[in-house]
Amino acid sequence: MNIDVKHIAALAKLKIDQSEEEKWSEQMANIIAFADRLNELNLQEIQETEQHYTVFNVFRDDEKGPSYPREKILANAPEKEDGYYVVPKIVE
Amino acid sequence: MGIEKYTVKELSEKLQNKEISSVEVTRAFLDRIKKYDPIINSYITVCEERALEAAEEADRRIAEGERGGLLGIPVGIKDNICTEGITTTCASKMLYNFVPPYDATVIKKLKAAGAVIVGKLNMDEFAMGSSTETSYFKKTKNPYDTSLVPGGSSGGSAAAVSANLAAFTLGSDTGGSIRQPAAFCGSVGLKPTYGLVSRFGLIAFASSLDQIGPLTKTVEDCALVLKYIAGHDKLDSTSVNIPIPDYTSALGGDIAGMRIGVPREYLEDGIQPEIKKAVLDAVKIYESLGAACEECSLPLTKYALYAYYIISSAEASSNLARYDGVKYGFRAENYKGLNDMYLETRSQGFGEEVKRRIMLGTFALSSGYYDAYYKKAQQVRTLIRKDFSNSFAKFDALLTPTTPTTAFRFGEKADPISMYMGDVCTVAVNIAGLPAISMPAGLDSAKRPIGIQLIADSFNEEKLLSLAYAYEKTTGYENLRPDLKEGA
Repeated sequence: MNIDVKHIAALAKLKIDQSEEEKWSEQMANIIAFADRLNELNLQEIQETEQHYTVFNVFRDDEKGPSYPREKILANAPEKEDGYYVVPKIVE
Repeated sequence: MGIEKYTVKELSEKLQNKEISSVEVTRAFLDRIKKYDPIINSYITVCEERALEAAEEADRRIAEGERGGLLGIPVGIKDNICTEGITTTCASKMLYNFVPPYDATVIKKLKAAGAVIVGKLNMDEFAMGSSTETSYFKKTKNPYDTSLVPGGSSGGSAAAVSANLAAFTLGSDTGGSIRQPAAFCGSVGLKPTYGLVSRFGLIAFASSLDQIGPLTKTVEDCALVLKYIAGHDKLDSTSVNIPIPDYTSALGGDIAGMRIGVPREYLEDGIQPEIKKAVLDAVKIYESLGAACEECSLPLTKYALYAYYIISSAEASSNLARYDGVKYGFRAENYKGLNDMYLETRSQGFGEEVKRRIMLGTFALSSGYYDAYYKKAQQVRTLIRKDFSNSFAKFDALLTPTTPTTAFRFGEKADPISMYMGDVCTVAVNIAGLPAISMPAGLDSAKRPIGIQLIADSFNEEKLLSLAYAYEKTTGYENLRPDLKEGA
């Protein structure tokens, strides 16, 4: 199978150097050929498994409680200012 | 070697009889880590000060008359389980500086029980790998032979238990990541039923497959630890609300009349003959104890592997979308605008295996391929579950190898597919959400540990543990320990 690794990488927000494109195409093709063996099975009319145990609508009580302090959450931010995350400008 | 060699059970008795204090036990482990971990490389972070404070607190609780199986016991934690105030890296550059603002539920439970966290353990990056070689930080060595990998992804957790660098450890298992390293390092490793142990605070790899579980020296310790970490948690909507038994009280019971199935697909080509022999020897042992063993068939075994790599990669590609350099962790230094910041951060922050899984998962979920891959894998999942439930109508447990081979050398499996093939005995269990345990079954001719696996039906951990305990007590393999040489 011919896989458009540049397209997949763009969807996944990964950068692939031109020099690595061939390596990635080949590796992806090998792994997908490996997974293609699922086609040996007849899966017509087989339901997909979506969860291990049927758990219906898990709700919690609507009680108010303390939230995490803002400083504690922001402590891990690579860049912050005045209690906000800082990201590169997106609107000119 | 001193008190570090004791089991959790033995240490706990000595602590409660006040023969030793938790501070003494903790210091002994910290000293041993200083001496031997430069060789084994099992820890990413050692938290000496915090550990000694927790040990003092445990000693106060013991002095006040409190009793408890984990009170004052040193534990090591896989570095994908969040610990408040202690760096939790997932062995990735992406989270090299991440300090969680909260504890995972299992950590809260361990702290409430008085366990002493001594440090955070190495692993494959984001738990993706089977040798701990994909860690951004270091290569953990197998305590039995430092030229061998410890297995993975919980390689640090398995090596630390085996080398007595923690009394017990926690790992996580998405496709064998507790059981396979336990087998490679001669430890006991349990992957609990999906939903038995809360995943809150476990950094997600593949949410429908991940489970946290214990790695221990003995089956008895494993039962003891499970009792403390299992239980419903409202912070994990997939956690199941059932009563948690005292798993240790199931041990030592009569196993006569129990029925054990031996699926022939797990003993076919590609299984190292000495491992196959270990399984057949275990059959004889179980028969001598009065259990009924019979060959059976799980025809879809090999397909579980293909379905696993699609499902786990698809879920990973979604779960790892959150690493964008905005809220926590690594951010690239040079970029042009927001999109480029995402691209640079993710391309520099993730290692090659993680990128490979994200790419595969993104492909399997992408428009035009979803039906052919992800949907198909989820259908195969239904068939695999059916295969197992048919078996459990007839058998109390299934007996298989944990791994097709014993531990391999660093760099030996450079090709991703050859690495993936090594998971063939473990992944089906996660696909079906079942509990399974790996236990030591002696050494092969090259003196590498062999692990064998028991699988039970959902929430039948008691059955699993009592069968494993009977085997361990009959064989005495619990007493096998590696011979560590300082500076070797």
